[in-house]
Amino acid sequence: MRYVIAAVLVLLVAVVETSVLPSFRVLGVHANLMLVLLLSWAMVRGMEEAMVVVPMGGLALGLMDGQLLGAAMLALIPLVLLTEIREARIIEGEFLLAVLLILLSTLAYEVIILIILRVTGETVQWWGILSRVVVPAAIVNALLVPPVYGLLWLGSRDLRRPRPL
Amino acid sequence: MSSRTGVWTLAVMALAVFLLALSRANLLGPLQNVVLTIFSPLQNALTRVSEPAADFVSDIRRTDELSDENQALRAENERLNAEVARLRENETRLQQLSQLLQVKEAHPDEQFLAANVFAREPSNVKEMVAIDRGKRDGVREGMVVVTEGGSLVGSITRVYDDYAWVILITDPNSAVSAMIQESRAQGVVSGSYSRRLTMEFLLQAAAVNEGDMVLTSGIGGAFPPGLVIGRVSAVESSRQEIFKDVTVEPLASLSRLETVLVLTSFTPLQLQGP
Repeated sequence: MRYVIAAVLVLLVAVVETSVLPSFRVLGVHANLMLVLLLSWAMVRGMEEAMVVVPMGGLALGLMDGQLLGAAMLALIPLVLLTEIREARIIEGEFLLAVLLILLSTLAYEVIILIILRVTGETVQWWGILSRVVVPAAIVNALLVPPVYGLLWLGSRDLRRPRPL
Repeated sequence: MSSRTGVWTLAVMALAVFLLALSRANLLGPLQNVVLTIFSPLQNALTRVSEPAADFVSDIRRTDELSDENQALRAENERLNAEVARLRENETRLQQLSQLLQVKEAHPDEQFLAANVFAREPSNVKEMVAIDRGKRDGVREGMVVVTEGGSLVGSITRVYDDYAWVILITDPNSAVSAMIQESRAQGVVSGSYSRRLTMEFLLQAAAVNEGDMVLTSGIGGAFPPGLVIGRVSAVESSRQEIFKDVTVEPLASLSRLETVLVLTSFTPLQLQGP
């Protein structure tokens, strides 16, 4: 059942991301709600579920965006790898770690998309991409973490409640 | 990295690369066409609903700028009315001359196909919009897309049976052969990650001024000549540089596209290297 809910959610987010979000630009970019949702999912619901939901998200986005199918899925892989940092306990506090990870995930996402564009024959203007796209996108995505993470956290109370032995 | 994560990474990477290869070979078009058929009404509705809210948010941030813009638009309106009157006069004279000389038009009448914009590319490194016309309507890759007012929007980059993606002229990978209408100086109008248009390869000696109109030149054969791209908004010259640094303001409101026209009568040339 949880994966059905996840599938519906990622499809809805893909629809919103290709229709509503491009109209709302902050710092010259728009938010990557799918990335924020999947990272929050991995942080709140755990790696096991993230390993199923992240490819779902990549597929949903790829089916609706204008790029090659598989590009978004490939760009989302580092998100799961970065979430493993949580096990290292570098930062105390899940929320702060989520903010740090969204900054890194955004960087990885945008760079992988650019590499795919380059490999498929498009010209990529590497100069200026960091200040014009990657850094603003990371900040905008970080601003979205509190509401998305908070909603998922509230919606997952049953999961966090200790189970009887 | 745990072994489980390692296996997962390799498996998802393989799946993604497999999908990329199939997509590159245009084998997944029918699947994407079905998905867009299901979701495009919802995307269209959400786009329409969100636009007033987006405009409101944008207006709050730009109150001062809008006031200045309003004044500038009034002046522009006055100037354009005068220009329209002059052009009507020219058109009448041209028609009379054409009849006199009995010049047969070298090209057939241009044909347009109206299309609705229902989605936008979510990535911050690409500028594309999706339209509700595809192969079944006669849309082909490379076809030119303009606004209802006739100014250049971009070209078709990917086509499914019922839908197509249009790469906008503001996309960082877009390059349009262009010329300054007043001086006929030629260059290339390119997009960028800041969604600004720049006109490149204009020599320092070229006569370019703020407010000059920029049109397609037709060189290269990808776009027909004479389509309006925009207006020169800034010119920077430096003795140390070979080319001028020219910024172009697109005439079409590319962030608020609702309906566009696909120019079906123009076939772009596919030039091969020597």
